[in-house]
Amino acid sequence: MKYFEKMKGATISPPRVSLFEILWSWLGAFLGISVLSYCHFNLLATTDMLMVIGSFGASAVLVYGAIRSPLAQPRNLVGGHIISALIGVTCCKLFPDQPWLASSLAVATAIAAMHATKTLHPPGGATALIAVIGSAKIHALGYLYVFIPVGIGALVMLVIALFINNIPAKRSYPEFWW
Amino acid sequence: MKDKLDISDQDVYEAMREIEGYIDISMSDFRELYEHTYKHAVKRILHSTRLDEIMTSDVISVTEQTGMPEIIRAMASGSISGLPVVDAENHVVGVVSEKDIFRALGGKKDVGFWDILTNCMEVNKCLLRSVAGQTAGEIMSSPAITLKVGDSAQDAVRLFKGKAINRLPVVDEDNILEGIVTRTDLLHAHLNIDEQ
Repeated sequence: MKYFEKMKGATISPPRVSLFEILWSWLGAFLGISVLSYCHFNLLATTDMLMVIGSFGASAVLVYGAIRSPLAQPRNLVGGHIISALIGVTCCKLFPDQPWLASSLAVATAIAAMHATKTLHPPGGATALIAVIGSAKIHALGYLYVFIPVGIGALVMLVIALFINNIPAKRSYPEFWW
Repeated sequence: MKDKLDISDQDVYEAMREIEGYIDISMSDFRELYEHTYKHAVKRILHSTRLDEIMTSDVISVTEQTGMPEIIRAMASGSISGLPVVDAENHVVGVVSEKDIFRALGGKKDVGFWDILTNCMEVNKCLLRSVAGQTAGEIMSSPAITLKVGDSAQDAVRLFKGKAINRLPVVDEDNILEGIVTRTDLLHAHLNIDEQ
């Protein structure tokens, strides 16, 4: 049957990237997350602020490890996170007693909104979800979550991506801005 | 088009290896994208190619009064299958093609070369004699479907397909014959694109 036939897959997996690419991805991600987590654990530890959320780990895969992907471009990185954060916080506030509904609504709406605005960025889905299932510290931020840690964090990662990804002659970032 | 675009997964795999960095696209996505891109490129190039770049300017033409023997001789000498018919001022008034001659011979539509041969064998007399006295004006397809010099190759493709014809006289603004464009000219233009 064609339906089951399709589950077999259609083609082979793409090739492995070069060792250079692997090392440079590592370096970019290390620097990007270093800056954010240093702020988070060393500078903001005693405050109510935070700088690192789980979805930044996923963004690092894209903006340091798959830099040519349309999903990794500045528009997607910054736009995707901010739009998703906005939707996540809104869903959390709309259904505070129904976390299951707030969670699913946040992620699904974030994907739809990112698609509609051409800012699809997979970690955005996590950003929306974290707004609902995150710690009390995150809930206490309210809409500030959209700016700190999400907006600032995405911008810091973008600046480091621009800096690190353009050093090697063979690498260049971004593919497009807008 | 399909055969020419028949690139294998291995081709795509090798191409991906040659390009530095992780390419976030599957093989089948790439192939699909390539096929669409290729079609758009051909369309764009055909659209931007003017007829005067690909047409034959040195056209053999006949007048309405030209007789059948001369028409056939002209076609045979140039190995061509159709001729524009012009008036005294070189305005295109019709086209006479193999099809028109066959039709004159057989007296009905869609008569082909083999029908004529079969007829010759069975009747044992050359049919050509029966139409030898006719002129281009009598057998031509008229009015002629023409294109202007500034029209694009894409316009010619559309007409060839839509009207099921093989050649189009190309005229200037005053309907004066400037050249002729055939399916072969288009094929050559297309092959040039490929070579580039």
